[in-house]
Amino acid sequence: MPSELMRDELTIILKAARHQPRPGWEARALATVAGLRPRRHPNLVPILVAILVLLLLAAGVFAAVRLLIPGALEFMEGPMGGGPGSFHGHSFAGEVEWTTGEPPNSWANAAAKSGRLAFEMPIDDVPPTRTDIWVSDPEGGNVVNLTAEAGIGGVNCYPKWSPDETMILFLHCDPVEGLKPCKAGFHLFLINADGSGAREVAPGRDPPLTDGVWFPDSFHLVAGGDDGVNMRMDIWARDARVLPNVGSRAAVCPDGSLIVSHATEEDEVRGQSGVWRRLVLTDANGDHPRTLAEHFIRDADIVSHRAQHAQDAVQDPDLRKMTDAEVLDEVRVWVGPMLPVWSPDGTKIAFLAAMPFDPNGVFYRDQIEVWVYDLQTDQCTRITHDNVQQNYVRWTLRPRPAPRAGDDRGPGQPSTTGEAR
Amino acid sequence: MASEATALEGGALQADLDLARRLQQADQSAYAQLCQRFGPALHGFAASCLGGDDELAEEVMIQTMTDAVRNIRRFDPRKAGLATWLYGIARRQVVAQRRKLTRRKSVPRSAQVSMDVTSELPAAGDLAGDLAARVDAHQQVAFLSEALSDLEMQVLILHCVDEFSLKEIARIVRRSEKAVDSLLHRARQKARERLAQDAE
Repeated sequence: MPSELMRDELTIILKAARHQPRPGWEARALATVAGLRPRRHPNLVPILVAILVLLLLAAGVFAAVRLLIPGALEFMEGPMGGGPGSFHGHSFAGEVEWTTGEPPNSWANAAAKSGRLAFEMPIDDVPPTRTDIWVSDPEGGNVVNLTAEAGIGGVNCYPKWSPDETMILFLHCDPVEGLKPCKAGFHLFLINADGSGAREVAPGRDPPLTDGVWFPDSFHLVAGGDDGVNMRMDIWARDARVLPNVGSRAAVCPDGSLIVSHATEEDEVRGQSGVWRRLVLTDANGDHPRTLAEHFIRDADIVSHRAQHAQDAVQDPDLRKMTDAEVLDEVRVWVGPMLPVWSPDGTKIAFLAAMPFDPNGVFYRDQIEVWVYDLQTDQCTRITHDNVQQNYVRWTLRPRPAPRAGDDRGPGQPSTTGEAR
Repeated sequence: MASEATALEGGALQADLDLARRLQQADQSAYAQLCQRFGPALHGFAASCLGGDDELAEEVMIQTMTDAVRNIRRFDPRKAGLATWLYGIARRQVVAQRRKLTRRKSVPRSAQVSMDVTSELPAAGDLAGDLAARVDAHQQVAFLSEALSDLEMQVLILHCVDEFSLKEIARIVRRSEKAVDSLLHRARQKARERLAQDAE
């Protein structure tokens, strides 16, 4: 009984303390509520959740399919924006240029700002061919033989301007009778643009540096030798730091934050041994590697290529001169993604890839196409489809000239000059 | 008696359905009816749960009716009555407001007594006595809310003042009937102890 009394007391207290709305509440409430309309649509949250789940499932299936088909061609054909070779995307990334056909005998490199040319040119026809590094104006005037003036004889090749255009990196070899320069051994050299200060970048290093790429500050390099170890160092070979995931033919992005290179890795896929050829992107320390494109070359492909080569060599005397190692290299080194080049805005990477695109064409050798990887969309686009050999990819920001009357170089027909431009 | 109660319930249900249908049709007179029928009760419930803050309680009441009108198509009379549905919305608003209040650095509401009590006095009668009783009741509720958890206080008010059944309260606070029964028992126990302390 006391408990019930207490319960009544509790109710009385609670009811007595009950607040009434303040005067004018009804008008205020109606003013807010009166203009409203019931929502027409059902709750969208479950629909959005369902869409999200479906997308995740699709992504999972896609990733699983990619994992289940190793060795398949990892590139995707994609739409081209702005015409063949022209990439606009979020900003004007520039245009890709390349040469078609057999690679030219000499290598040329144009300075990014002034357009000054640095190029290699043979000075005699006596094997082993001796070459010098020359510079000239973009139009070909004021030609200077830099290495001859610096007194560096032998084989000098692959000149590369520093971004500030004050220095040139190149490879130098003291020729040895009866040996090709690559067998005699290249050394990475540096020379000022006026021909002074020629020197080896890392003298005494064993093995010597045989590859060098500039960082945008024109003071640091990515350099490596035949041991496959690539390092970041300054032009005096100081502060060398090993870049763990950077392979050969590295390219540093215009702001210096990323490095793309190609790597070769022995592996076994579905019981078949072979090598992966990969285009790998890393940060400037060589960390956080990310594969942009890859292709698995089975040892069986190499064997079939060797057989094909033997057949072709019967007809072609040049092919007969190739050693067995060179024939193998033709597949191991040249098949798959290679020679990446950054777009000027650093959003895209153009590269070459030799692939058996045409089963009826000559296997590998003449099927080098140009691709562009867009880092903003992660889309890889093949931009040449002519099933012939492309070389010397580079980017330009120059607007594409309007086609002239009678010019039969329609869209999709790249330059076929056979020279580096 | 039983048939009379059933008839009353049936009439209320029919009225709920009619009001909900008119709200779905954006009938302006239905908005006024919604406010008149549920406004004071929702305000009272919100004020009790928010320590007597009438301004905040009015905000909760208006927001509850706004949400109800916008989402009237979600109202399913097979699951709950209109009042239960509205109190469920109001409770969520109260919980949100309580959360905001705890984040504010101010004097707790339970430590204050609303001066609006003077406006709630009846027109005639013992003004001084009524005022004293009202202020006393508010203070006692303030003490109670210190002793009880938010949920216990809500369950107590819904049961004692708004006279919802256990099943309806369970739907409003989204608990099982058994849990509500237990909450109510505990709330009464605590309230009893608190009132006894106060009486001493």
